[in-house]
Amino acid sequence: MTVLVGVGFALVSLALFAALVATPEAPGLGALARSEIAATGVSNPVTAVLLDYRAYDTLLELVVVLLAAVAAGALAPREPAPAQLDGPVAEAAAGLLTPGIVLMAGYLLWIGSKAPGGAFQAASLLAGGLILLEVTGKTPPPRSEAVTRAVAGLGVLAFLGVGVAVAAANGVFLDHPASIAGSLILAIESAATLGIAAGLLALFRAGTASA
Amino acid sequence: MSPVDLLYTAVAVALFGLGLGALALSARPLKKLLGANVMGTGVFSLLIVTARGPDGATDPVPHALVITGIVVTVAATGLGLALIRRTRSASKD
Repeated sequence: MTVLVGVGFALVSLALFAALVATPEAPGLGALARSEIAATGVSNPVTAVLLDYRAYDTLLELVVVLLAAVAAGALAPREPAPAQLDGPVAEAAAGLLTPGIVLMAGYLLWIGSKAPGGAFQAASLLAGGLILLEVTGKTPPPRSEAVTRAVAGLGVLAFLGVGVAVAAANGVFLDHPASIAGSLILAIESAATLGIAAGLLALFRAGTASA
Repeated sequence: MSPVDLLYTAVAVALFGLGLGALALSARPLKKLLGANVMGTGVFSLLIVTARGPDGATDPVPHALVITGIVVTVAATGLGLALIRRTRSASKD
């Protein structure tokens, strides 16, 4: 039975592949995204899509991270986990690597406006550094669950706040005026970096709390 | 499609199929969650292939969709793991 179902899935995959190969190539939205980029305040087209053309998507994505972190925290046991990596090597590695990780996260956040990088890359790196401290027993801030959630909410609030402010100024939610769009995007991304990193840290803590 | 695009498409479809198989055929929740992750990786690879247009220029929209997708996948996986742990400890009581 299992083999039959497996063969079925293999056939479905083959049909999918044939359909994809047969699909005619379309020009897509690349040309349009590039021709309007001057109005977005950034020169990296991916950042322009994320924070300008499709800013709604990114706002709701921050909401998804916040909701997942809160829900996982609600499901987790109350006791925080003990350190899982002991010994001088782990401690020294955490002490040596963390400053570099934080610096690199700041660089990725800043470079995102003109080259590959941005809030998500910076936040995953920052969260990695925080988790490294967490597993070696040097519990990083924010320590309490409430503060971690509050920081995770900060990204959403900053994004919403900027959206509402530009709506009050020019009538369209999240439509950044071209003259200050670059600064607005950097502000949103800075708050989003802290928010997503806190959300990921909260998810990690919820997953490792001991029953 | 160029041979490289064909190879990427084939790998993407294979990942999607393998993940779908694990999701449907495994009885263990953790394997199902991993299967869904592998399926997602297939979809992301496919979006990256489609981002390269016929003129060789890269379309930034699929790239932005992929990075959004990765973040949502991480959040959903974390929540899924928390749910699996909770159901496991609840069924022990």
